[in-house]
Amino acid sequence: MHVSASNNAKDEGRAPKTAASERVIRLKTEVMEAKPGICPERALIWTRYFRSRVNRKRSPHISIAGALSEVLAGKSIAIHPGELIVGNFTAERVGGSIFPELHGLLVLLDLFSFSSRETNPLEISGGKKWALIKIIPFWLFRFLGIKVYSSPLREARLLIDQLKAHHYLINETGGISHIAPDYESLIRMGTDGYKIKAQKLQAATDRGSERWLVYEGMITIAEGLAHFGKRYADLAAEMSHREKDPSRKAELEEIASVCRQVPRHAARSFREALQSLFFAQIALNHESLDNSVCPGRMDQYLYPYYSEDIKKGVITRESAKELLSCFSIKMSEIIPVFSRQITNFHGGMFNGQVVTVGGMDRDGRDAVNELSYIFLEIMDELRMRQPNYHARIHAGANRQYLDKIYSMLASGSNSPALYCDETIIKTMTGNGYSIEDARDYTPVGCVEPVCQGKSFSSTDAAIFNVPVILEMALNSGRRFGHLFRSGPKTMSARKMKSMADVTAAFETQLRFKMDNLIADLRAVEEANRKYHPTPLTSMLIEGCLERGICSTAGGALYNYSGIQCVAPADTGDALRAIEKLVFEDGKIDLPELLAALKKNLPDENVRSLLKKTEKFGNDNAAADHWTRYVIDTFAGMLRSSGGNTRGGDYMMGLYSVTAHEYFGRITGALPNGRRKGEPFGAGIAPSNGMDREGPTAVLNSMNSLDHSRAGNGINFNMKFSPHTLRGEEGRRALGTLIGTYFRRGGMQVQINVMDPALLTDARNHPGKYPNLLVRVSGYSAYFNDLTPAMKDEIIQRSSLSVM
Amino acid sequence: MAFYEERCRGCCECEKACPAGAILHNPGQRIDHSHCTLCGLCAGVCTTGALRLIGCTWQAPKLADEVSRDRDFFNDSGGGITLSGGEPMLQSGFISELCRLLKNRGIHIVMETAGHVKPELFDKLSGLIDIYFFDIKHSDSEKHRALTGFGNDLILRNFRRLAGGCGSVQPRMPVIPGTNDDEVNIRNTARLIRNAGLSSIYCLPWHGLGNSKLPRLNSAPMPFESVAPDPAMMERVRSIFYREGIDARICQ
Repeated sequence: MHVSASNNAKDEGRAPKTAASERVIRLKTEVMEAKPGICPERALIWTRYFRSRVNRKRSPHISIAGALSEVLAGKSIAIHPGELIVGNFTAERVGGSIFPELHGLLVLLDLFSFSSRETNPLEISGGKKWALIKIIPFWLFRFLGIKVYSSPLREARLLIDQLKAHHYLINETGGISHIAPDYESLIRMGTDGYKIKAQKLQAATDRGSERWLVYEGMITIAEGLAHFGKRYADLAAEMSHREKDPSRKAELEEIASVCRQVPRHAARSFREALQSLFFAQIALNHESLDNSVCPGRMDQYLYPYYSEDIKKGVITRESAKELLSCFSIKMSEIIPVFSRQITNFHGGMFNGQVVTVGGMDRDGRDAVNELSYIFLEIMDELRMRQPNYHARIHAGANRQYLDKIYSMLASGSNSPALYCDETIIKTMTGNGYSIEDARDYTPVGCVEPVCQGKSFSSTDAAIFNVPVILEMALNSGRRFGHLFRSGPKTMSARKMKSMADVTAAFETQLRFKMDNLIADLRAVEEANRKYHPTPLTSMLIEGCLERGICSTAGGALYNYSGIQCVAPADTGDALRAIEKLVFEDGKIDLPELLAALKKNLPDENVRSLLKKTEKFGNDNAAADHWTRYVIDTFAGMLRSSGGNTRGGDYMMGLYSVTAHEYFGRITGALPNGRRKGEPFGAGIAPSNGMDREGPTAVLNSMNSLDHSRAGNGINFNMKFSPHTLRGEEGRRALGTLIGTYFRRGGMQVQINVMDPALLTDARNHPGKYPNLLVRVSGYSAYFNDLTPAMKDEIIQRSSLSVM
Repeated sequence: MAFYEERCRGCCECEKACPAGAILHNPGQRIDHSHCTLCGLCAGVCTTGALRLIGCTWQAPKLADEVSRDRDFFNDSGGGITLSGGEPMLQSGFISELCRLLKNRGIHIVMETAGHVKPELFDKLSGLIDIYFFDIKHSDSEKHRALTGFGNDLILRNFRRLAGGCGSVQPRMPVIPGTNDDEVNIRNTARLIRNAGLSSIYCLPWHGLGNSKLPRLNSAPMPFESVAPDPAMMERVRSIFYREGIDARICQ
């Protein structure tokens, strides 16, 4: 069921049963071929709005809603040929916006290098560049990051820390987002429904009070969003007058009629429901951070509209699938515009817009429906960057659903990522979610579970570099080669007589840096609340409207913050190496080891000794113990750090996006044999290349960890070559591996099947894929262990099995 | 002792470690196999993994524990372990001890064998092996001798005995073009299977991937050259078996 241009599907856009329709293929091709660009509109309109002193004097609840409404009213709109679901994120076919009041200032400073940079290059014309550069002076002392602390010294320290990002990076200076909005209510009652509700509640408050202002902001933006839809209705009507092709003319008239109804009014059909939420999706991506605005469980809240329309005969399964495909393609029309620095942490042009299928309903029953299957087909056929598709799995999941997912993954779709309901629901209820709300979870961003429509969890609040803490702990609070301490003075390596001394120093340094982080983070939370409230987000998250409190101030029902523990396995392996080589075997003494680390492990013999010590990921109890220690210590310390300023707890996440690579670049050599500059393991994965005992051993090690400590989610990647998973047997084996892993408390797994191009890359750069397992013949081997001739043979075979 | 040429960076730490003077200054071949005592000290100092001692010594109870770590996966998948080789029957004493321990833990056991061992050795394993994957390389004893150095009489005797016993036996055949894929051999093989009261065979298309291991091990035998059968050839083999009333499955 791969995408292929089916020549016989010539009739008016009616899709053949399983393959994508011609319309869908055309739209996909256009989006895939478009060069991503930077759209200055949002930045310029926002700046124009705030240049007015009158607007600056308004309460931010109102001025943010006003500015966003201006953007929605003033940004250019377009309906592209063949589109059924309309709305454009930016003026570019594929583009991103700049948020000068948040992290955008740094982006602006990078403007000159955008089209030439190596990772994620972006197009922008000279004129637009100049227009953007002109707004820099206005924002230079007005962007959020500079308003965090009132003391200039502390402020300077924060900014320098943020720019260097050696110990941690606070993402919240770029806004919060990371929500799964309550689209179900928006679809059901329209923006007018919200407006009426807000007006009623506002009438009972004192004019000018904080709550009054919150409601005023919501009323403003409800109107702004409604107007945005009307613009498309007008455009479609106008285009239909000019349209010569009768079938397209009818389509445009239909679009106009849909957009006259939504998002202002309640959706009357499946199509209107989808269109309504897509308008909100665009608007939310212009309000605050354009990252991780997640439609979430679409197969659940859209299903009533789908089944009603099927019953009425308004749509068929095929036409519904075509609409969802159009929507899915539209989600790839947005990209984030990050500065070079942020790209280090969030590479890959990823907006983290999650769509989740399957899982349980609020009563704990299997909730898979026809839409779940349609979404699975779409992700397999389109295989595009966005949305980020996830599938929920539980013990009672239906066989057909699982088979469909496993065969997609085995054939190399690399999507969806899989989540275990039992583990996640247990984790969430343990953290204070009600059982019903926990069952209604969807991951947002990368992997972070939140309740659909009820959580305002800043899941990507900050990213923490754990191995650098060990570097400081071994060197009494100093980074290697640094003159000044960056942490408290702890016991010198010469005096350390046992692992207890090492862990005591490690914990002291960790506590110190974590306290710093939390203090900074709370200040940034306050700055967000004070200067950048989010009225539209608040309208679409349950609790904020009812209480009259903005989401940035804790109006939502659930208000966690997530802090990512990066490279626990590297740190754990390093601790194990110290334990074994220094204190158990006495092969090297600690000062000697420290000296070698400072010199970046020049002696191959020392390094090979370190490399050969047991590592996490091989089902070795002694090694796994230390990774567990790092995770438990980190999670426990976070827990005891008190809550965030929105009334929720800080929770640990075990995923790293691309931060493991950046932190690796700046962190010194480690006792696990890793030299300075080499990347750390991603997420919770074993440190690079160190899992040598095959998939069941990795999963045994993974299951030895307590996943429920990671309330903010886990990312665990497994890579396979296509040949390994081929056929019915391969699919069954994959299903069993995942099933066993989940049954024993695993939380999440992502299956990557390497395509032949990647295998070729692995042949040319062995260091990049150290632990790639390939199937040779009845047995599997590590790719790097094969001779060049065998590697070529495997590449050739893989090319065959993909086709 | 194996040498992975492309991993070697020529530091020659192995030379210092080798007590037998078996390290050569030849970038293509580091080990002088006539002097090597398989002590493994060179592999211990090799930092890039270019020198490796292949295989290691296990005690049955320890190996049984190691295998049992994956029991959850066996239980969920209905899988278990496969004893392979070489020829596992050459270590039948160890195998029977290991299998007894694994059977106590309810682990399913498959063994791949070429069957060229004394029949009594199979008796010792009676009731321990769930499925034998039994190789039948050629039905004709003389041709078998020409190809492998031995006739197939002992093999076929074992095959019939096992097929009549309590374990289940699954015949397998490596399909080597020009060597054993002629119609006569296939029909005779089919008859052997039928006579033993069985009805299926797994056909494994020959591949040359093992040949590239030879220079690493410096083993004496010359590489065996043939062509890997394409799907059409395998289909032909399958259909001949089918006409003879034997279900042939092509294993990739």
